[in-house]
Amino acid sequence: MFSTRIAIATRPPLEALVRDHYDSVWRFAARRVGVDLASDVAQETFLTVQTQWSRFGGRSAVRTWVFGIALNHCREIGRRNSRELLEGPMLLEDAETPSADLVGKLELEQALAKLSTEHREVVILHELEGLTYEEIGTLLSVPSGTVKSRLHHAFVALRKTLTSPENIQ
Amino acid sequence: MNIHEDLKAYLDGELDPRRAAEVRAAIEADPELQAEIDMLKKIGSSLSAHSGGPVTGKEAVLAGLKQKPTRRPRWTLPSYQLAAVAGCVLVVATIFPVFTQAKQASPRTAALAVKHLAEIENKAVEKDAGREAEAPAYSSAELKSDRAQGLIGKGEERTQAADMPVIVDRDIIRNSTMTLESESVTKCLDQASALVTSLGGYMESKNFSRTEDGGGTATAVAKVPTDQYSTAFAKLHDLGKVLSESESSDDVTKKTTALRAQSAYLNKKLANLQRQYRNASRRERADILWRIEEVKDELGGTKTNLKNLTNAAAMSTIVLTIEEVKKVGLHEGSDNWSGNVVNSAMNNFKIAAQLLGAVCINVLAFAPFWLPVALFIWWRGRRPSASA
Repeated sequence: MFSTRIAIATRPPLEALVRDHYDSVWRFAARRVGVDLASDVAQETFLTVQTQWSRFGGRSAVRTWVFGIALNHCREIGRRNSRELLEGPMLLEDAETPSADLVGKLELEQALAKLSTEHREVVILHELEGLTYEEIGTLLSVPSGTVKSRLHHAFVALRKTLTSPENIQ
Repeated sequence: MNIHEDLKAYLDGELDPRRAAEVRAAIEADPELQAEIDMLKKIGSSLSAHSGGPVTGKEAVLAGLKQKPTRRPRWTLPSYQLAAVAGCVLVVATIFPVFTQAKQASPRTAALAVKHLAEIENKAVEKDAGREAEAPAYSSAELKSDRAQGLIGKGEERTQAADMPVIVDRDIIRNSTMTLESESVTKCLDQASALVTSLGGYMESKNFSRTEDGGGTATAVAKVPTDQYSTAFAKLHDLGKVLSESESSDDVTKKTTALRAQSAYLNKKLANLQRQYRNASRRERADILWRIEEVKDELGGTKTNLKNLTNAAAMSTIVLTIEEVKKVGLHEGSDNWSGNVVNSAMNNFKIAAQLLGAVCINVLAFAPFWLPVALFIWWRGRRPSASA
């Protein structure tokens, strides 16, 4: 109870929460359900955050809690639309980053597409959304060690795909 | 522990200090591990390079937050329990009046319609007289209630009355029975069918049976348009000798007018409810939807009753019984006259025997009464001769 009161006392204003996390939630949703539905998911997520804000007990980081809500909304939309999750473009167009990358975007898309759902999920959450192993573990309800293992195997697979002869050519 | 599995975690700073030191030492000592680290960095950098992108909808969410500032709940501990109790009270408070109102809706609307029947009839009379009739205005408490709820708007009651049908023709259900005697039952039945069909009616049922004495009887139920009823009834007289006939009629004009008025009223109410539904909030829509279904049910029942009555009034019913003329005399069935005579004699003998048997039984049955009297008379008759 005491820790909850502290968490409530130190929680940021809702508006600041939206400013801090909206972009990452939107991108997360765009990668899972597509750009067209990303705004809907993000708005639903922050609507839920708004209504449930008083119940947030501070047992996890705010970002993890918000991503958990977004994940549930993505799953709900996936069920409603009878489509596979994680079907959005995994790599989004970034106006600030020119395409002169170390590895081509198309090759990366193809390499990510070849990953299993579990591996692709941790890669997106860690590499693209910047969540820590512990946050991902909390979000996916798995131990941090499992997150580390999945990430390792995902990168081995990515490396294998990206260094294959057809990609080198 | 496999050092390769920890390279990514080392790069992400997710290892504890002791394990991180071990991995760092291994990388420095092994160029192959160094190359692997470089590859992981390269892939990670490539992924991060595509982590951005244009985001939409953020301003809308922020604007929404400004419009609906959240308030901290006053009750923190039992809030969900209080919410559950409040929800139950709200549901009961919402459903109960609607339920009771719906239960009262049918008699209310019927009474309302009947109440205005006389006014509508007056309107018809005024129209017939060539005067401009003014439509009656609703003034019942029930209507006020509906108006208060927005189901009937101001002035709509007059429109509703104006929409109500003006009575010109009365709706009368006619029924009659007729018994005819004819030389040929089948021929008479065919003629009756042809007559009914020519007048636009039909035979609902026909039945012919032959009796033991060789005669025949036919029963038919004819349906004729009400405007042709008199013609049909008169022409059926000509098909044979009328043994009996009866007519009855039921004026259902009031009933049909009441049902039409009720139907118009419910249509108006339904339209208003549908308009309310379109403008209602999500929470109110469930209640309105429920009321719409109730009104639809009531409207369906009203229309069905009206249709049944108008159908019954449109076609009159004539129940026709045709009996064959009974033939008397021995020439009837002359082929078997001797048999008929024997049968007749046997019947007469049977009747006489039955009569004799009945007398004997009665004599025996009443013996306790007449036998003592007879014995006394007999004894008195013998006594003088004995003394002599």
